[in-house]
Amino acid sequence: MGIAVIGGGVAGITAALDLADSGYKVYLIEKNAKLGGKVAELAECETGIASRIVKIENHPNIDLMLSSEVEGLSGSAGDFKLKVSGKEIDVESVVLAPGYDVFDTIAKSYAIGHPNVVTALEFEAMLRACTASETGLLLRPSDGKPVKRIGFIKCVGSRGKENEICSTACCGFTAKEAWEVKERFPEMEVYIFYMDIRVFGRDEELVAKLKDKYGVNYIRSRVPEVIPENDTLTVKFENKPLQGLRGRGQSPRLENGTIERLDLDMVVLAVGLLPSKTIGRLAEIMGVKTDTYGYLETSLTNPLETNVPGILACGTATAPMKVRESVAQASGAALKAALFSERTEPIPGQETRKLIDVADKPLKIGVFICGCEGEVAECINIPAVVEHVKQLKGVTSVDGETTTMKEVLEAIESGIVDQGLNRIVVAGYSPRAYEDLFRDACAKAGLNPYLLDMVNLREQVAWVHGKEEATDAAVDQITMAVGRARYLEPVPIESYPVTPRAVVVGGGVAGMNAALEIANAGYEVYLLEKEAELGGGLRETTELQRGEKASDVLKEYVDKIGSNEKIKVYTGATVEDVRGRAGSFRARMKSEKVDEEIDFGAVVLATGAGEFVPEGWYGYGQENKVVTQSEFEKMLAGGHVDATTIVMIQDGIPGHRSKYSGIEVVSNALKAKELNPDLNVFVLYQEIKTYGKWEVLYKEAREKGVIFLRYDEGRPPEFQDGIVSVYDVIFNDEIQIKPDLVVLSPAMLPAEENEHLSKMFKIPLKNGFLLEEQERPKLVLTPVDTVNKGVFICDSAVYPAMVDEAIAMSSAAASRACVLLAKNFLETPGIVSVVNEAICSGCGVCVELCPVEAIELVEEPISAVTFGVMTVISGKKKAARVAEGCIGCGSCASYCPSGAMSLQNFKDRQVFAQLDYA
Amino acid sequence: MEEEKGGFEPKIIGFTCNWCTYAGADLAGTSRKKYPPNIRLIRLMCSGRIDPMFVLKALLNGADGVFLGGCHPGECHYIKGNFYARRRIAALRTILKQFGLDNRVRSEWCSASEGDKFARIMKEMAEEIKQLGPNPMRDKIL
Repeated sequence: MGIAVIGGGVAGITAALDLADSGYKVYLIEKNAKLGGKVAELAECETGIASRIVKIENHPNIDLMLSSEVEGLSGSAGDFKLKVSGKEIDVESVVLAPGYDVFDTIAKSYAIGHPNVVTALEFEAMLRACTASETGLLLRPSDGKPVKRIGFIKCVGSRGKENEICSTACCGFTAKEAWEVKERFPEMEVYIFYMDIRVFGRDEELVAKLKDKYGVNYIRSRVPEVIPENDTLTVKFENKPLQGLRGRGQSPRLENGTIERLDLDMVVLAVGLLPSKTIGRLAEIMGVKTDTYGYLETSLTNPLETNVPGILACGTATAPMKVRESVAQASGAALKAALFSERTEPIPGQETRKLIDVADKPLKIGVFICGCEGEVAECINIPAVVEHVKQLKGVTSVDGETTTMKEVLEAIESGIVDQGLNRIVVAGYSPRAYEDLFRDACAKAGLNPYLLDMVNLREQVAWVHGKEEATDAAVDQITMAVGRARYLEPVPIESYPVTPRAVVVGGGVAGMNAALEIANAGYEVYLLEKEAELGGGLRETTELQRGEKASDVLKEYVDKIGSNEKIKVYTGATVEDVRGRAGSFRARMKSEKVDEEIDFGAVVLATGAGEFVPEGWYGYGQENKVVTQSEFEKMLAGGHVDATTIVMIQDGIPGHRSKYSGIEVVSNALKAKELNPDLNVFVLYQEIKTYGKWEVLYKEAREKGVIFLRYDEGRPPEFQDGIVSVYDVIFNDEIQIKPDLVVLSPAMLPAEENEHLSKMFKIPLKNGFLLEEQERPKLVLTPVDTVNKGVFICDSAVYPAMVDEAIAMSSAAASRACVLLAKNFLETPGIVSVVNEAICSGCGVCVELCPVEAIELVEEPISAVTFGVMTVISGKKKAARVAEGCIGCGSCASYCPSGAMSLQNFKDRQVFAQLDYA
Repeated sequence: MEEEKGGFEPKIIGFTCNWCTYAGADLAGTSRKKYPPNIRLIRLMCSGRIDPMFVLKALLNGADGVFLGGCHPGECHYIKGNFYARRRIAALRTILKQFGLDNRVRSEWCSASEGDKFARIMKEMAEEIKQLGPNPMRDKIL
């Protein structure tokens, strides 16, 4: 038996890998002839998805079914029979990840047939094509002239009649495309037409940077039409001073309602997302419900489950979302699907490998130069490079024929096995994305994985220099790598057992969910909550946005946790003094009742976020008619609001806005209107971020008479003597309101303990939130993983989000933790510092330096030791010892005055060898 | 190989950390930012691994310039390796000054999203070193 994953896009790939990596049999079913879905249409170097696709293609536990369609399903959870393109497969559960389709009935008024009007996805392809072109310029498709002015139009095919809801992802990808354009063509004028900028977290920082640093013109206006005139495109929009051209804090931007014209060379339409066309039929076969918009139906508190047990849903098939959220859902759904199944397959990397002893063997360096499907071959004269590299000392084989990653991997394996190569140099791809893949290939063929060096010919040579210079540079860089390869040593790899137990820090909804998921998967869990009771933010809430009672949700979780033997709850608990590494951590746990050492293999950090107390803002704390949204929510739940006029003030208070802030405002306004339809509700705002399906709430609120007034950033509303005055930018006038109640939306603050946890678990912090492993500008494909392999993060520890996202993300963190816990053993990391105790003088410089306190001085008995001309004959000497926590930065190695400390794989000799190339 | 093309083409050795500057160089590539082909990059995991010896060795080997790249302050993947690097390079500079070599060594913070900055530094550095002419150590040592 096994698990079927339907859809081979980024979500399906993620789910399949999480399952297969923890020993489940997976059938990955994709209707197209290749994997990758929409993400594969983006530039590979930006997505980094190729390594995952290669991994899937070679995964022993994955049965890849391309060009296949699901035709029927019978049976029930634990015993499904799935008919796929005529074949019948037995599976215990199914993960649905059919993805999205781009909105394709774009109104004619956008001149969609014109060559200079493209959709965002088409524009990605254009950017890629123009980078590969000789001039590198972005040219107008109609006449080949360079583009000087480009316009992005957002909300095409979303937030409108054809598709009511917000597509969520467009604001982010438009910002990313604008950024790329400005990075590459700083002179180009960029205009972005938008309704609201619905970005969160780091995308928010990007938009601010675009406006302030890159001079991108963000224009708040819905563009009704694009008028083509020969090669030029004219857009009409509401006039107002161009925002990007002005600094912050200047006089307010007023809108006087006149219509302006702007001539553009190109227009990019940020086209909305629709549920995949296959969903209707698929849902029918599976017997799962779809919602009014055609997405697979899930709920706020069960975001990954369909109405059929054993059938899970994830990604853009459940709602429009970004890749980051999509892959988090996929990981979470995978873990839930695994509950119905049994592990039947071996876990990769858990077989005992026998590595060849290379100690006294003569050097046999194999150099593999990859054409990278033409991307390198077109820019570098590979045959000339091969000729040169052949002459180098120690090189016994040079392969310049390979063009794809798969070919290189195969060539390496056969080179090691058949030709006895004992050092490998791969020239082509960036080691940052693919080093692990090539290391695995070496290890699989029996070569110590650290006998590999990589040269980045594509990003750092082929794409940045002219052909002749690139060929010279390639020769030099490969020569340097060969030089290093001569001195590479096999790094001792030891395996150590994995402690099959997890610790979850934080007992809010995310933490409780993560603990339950991990316990259900069969592992012991310690759930640590700093307060006296579980519940976190749920305790502060009475009702969730879809009307669910928070107390019911809380009770269900607490009951489930209470009755689960695998979970031990510790309240008033903190974790101190963390040692060890992924798979084998040890820490001291202090709680109300115990103070003990605990051992665990993985940890999920699910700390919450606290509400900023807006003391002094708009008279909060001084006047009892000023409350926060969460206090207002309690009043609403009480069924009575003693007011006739309410003013809600969004934004304005500095700090991090949570993802639910806008939704909370709109839903509370609606609830108030429901209690008393005659109530006057004013919402003063800058952006209403009701992303995705929440957009309908915003629309409903407007229909029900909630009045939304937008004010300028530089001119926030004031509340004095019982009167709120606000300068409305649409009326172009000051409006005064006399409210009985003012409701504020304070910012969310990261949990205080994040700082402590970041130190304990060695995870970087950004603005007080924990940072995920992957950094910009690539897509976030591992949103819950961190630089410390055994540590996973979710929910408000990363960014305050809606409860459905918090749950999905904590399931994802649990899933990633379980992939690790499923292993019996792990291998020690290779790039760590080692001490040559014989020459260590015990000065302790390294102890002071080590950023993770992984070095200690120990006293060792010795007979005699010589430092230069001096010999010490005492019976003891102090020497440094590197503990398990070493992260391999190498600071100690570069500071050590006696040369006793060295960083494996980056030893002095290995670096010097690269300098000797000339 | 350089001299044949007429004019002096300097040789610059670059030490970068894996997470920020090396990634920035990758981004310069994916954005097809052209820059002079004088740089030869050496990847380290962290700028903290940059031993002043590496810089000296590069200069004594005849490199005309040395570039050192690390993460911005506060963004180090290894928490504070970049500060250690800065500290040591500052100390090294006082020695390099004695030999008139300090203006051949440039250290910069360059993040993974600063492909443009990386390409710009490469251009500027190639120009600066061209102005300075060949490394005088070359004649003395080689």
